[in-house]
Amino acid sequence: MADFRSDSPTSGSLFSPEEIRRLMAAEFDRTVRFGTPMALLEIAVDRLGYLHDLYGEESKFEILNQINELLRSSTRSSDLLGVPMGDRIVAAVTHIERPYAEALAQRLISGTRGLAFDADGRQLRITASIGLAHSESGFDTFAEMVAAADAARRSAIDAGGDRFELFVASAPAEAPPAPTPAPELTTMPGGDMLLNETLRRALAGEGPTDLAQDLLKRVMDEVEERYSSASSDGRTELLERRVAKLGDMLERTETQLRGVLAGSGESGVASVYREVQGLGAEDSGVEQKRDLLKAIFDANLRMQRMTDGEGQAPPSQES
Amino acid sequence: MSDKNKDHGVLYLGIDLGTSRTSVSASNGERETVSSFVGYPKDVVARKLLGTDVLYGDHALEKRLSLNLFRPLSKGVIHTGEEDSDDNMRAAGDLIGEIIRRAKPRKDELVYAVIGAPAEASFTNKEAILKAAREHVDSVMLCSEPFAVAYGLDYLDDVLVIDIGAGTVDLCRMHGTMPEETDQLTLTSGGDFVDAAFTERLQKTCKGATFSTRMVKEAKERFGSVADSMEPAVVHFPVNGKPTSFDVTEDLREACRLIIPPIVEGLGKLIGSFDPEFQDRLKNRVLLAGGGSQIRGLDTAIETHMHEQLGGGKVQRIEEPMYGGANGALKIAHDMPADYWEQLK
Ligand SMILES: Nc1ncnc2c1ncn2[C@@H]1O[C@H](COP(=O)(O)OP(=O)(O)OP(=O)(O)O)[C@@H](O)[C@H]1O
Repeated sequence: MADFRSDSPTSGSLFSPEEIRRLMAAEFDRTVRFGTPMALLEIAVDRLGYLHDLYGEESKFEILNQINELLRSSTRSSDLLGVPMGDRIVAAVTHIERPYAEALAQRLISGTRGLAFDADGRQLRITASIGLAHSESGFDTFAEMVAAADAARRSAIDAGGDRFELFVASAPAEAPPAPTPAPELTTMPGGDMLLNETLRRALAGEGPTDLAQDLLKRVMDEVEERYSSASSDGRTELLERRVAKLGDMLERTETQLRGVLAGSGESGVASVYREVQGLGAEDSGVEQKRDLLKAIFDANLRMQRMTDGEGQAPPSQES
Repeated sequence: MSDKNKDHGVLYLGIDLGTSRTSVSASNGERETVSSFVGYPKDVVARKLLGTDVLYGDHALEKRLSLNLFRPLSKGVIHTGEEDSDDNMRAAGDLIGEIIRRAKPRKDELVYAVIGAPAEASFTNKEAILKAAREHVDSVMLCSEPFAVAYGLDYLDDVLVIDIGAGTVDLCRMHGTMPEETDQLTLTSGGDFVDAAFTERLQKTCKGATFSTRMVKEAKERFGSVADSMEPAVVHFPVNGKPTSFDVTEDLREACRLIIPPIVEGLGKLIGSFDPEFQDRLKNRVLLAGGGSQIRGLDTAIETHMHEQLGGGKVQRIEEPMYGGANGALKIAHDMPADYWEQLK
């Protein structure tokens, strides 16, 4: 997880905060696709601005870093992605059911109380407020989930801090009136037909007044859905080709390995790349790579000739 | 190397030959790095005590008092034509041999290696590297180190690589074809330069303290940052034998920041002399690699300077700064058609 003391808090991390945010969003998408649970926590230290003014920036970093540590030690690190966002920490924990996420948040609250922080020889009491959003609430986008965690954190602070709040989606009754027809429309079997029918009715001036708006959205969703499934078809094909190629390689590799094992009895892993090497047609930029490889080869060949005494002067463009 | 009895396969190696560190990534999955030091026992007694003719890496550094120690590639090149150039050449050859051994080639396989050499290594230098390598492998090719980094990441077009090593900072512009001389720029303001600048400042700040180059380098690697707000760099240096702590945050930041202006100036040159239509694209595809790229906040700081001086820019730090060169060289070796390798045997 990123460090708080640097301007570019990427130290110690392979990823920049933007990349971590992207990874979180990708995790979110995966969660939606596969229905695995995920929690998002937004952690803020209570009265951090005040502590900062009183005890300086370093104390602030110190506290945030300690909480950072606490977070890391309270979760299995592989399930955790954390990133500082201003004075807060946003952490995504995957594969976690809501009750466990709540327990984790509670553990962080208690853990924070237990943090020892000394300022000018005085023991400071540190507390935190955490906003928790869980995928159970059925967010459509990652941005919604972030906003939910943020709202929950604010309500934890409003309630006096030193606590966590779970974001609860407002009950359907409080939600803006559900548009007719029912939301499942396009995902139902024969969805296309229903869509057409709705369209027809809307154009004929039948149906509720907000239908046109709703319809536009639906059509856009549909277009988007089809567009994305079309492009994933292309990817599938590419992946299938790759799988086929790898399967083929594996087979040859295994044959080689069997040969090697049966043969010399020598220890060590044999490289069997002679059989399976080279650029494949499905590699990206294959033409360009071929040209580059040829240029490297030519330069080396020239150099070799030169050193073997065939040439006169050193080449000016050897690689 | 003779290739009799070698028909089982090929071991491909990607080697990054550096001033401070030499790394290899191999197609058998081995990945090794050794600091670029080679030491030979000073005399018969030392030889007997050490029980070997040559020591490498940190091990050599540790035993340096009993050794003639070489860092064969200081400033990114093998020094030739100087007093100890023969010894340096021998050390370079031994170092290459050692890194290849560490990749554990089998007797029955051909070894093909791509070596990433500093972008501006002279012809004599490349020749020397090739000569040393040929003793240990069946076929070898050189390419420029920044090219290897970019190739490894599939950045083939319009990309600028900044490789911050110990001896040098290599800037390399790539635009599809092989980088030419005019696409490359080598600055001597690498990690060693930062260490020297930091040491100079420490001598003033840490009055009465004794410290070694190694301690300075360790402190830099632990705390190095160019950010306005950074973790306080507190070091413990002995004063009259008593460990004493010094806050060297400011000194370190200043020393680290010294490498920014020459880099941005170099970027300006390479961008300014590029096809105007593609200058913006190039500006926004800058890769930051090499051990020195781990200085915190450096990507952002270079970006800020680029914005001020070049009107924009985007810098991306690569994920594995220590293996970027070797991984890329391995990929080149692997992608290279087999008959090219054969022809260079
Ligand atoms: N965490 C770190 N922070 C700052 N600098 C670091 C860090 N780790 C390594 N370095 C520095 O990186 C430099 C080594 O980088 P690298 O290993 O890429 O160089 P090299 O390839 O051996 O050198 P050259 O490219 O000049 O031949 C050294 O100066 C080292 O102190």
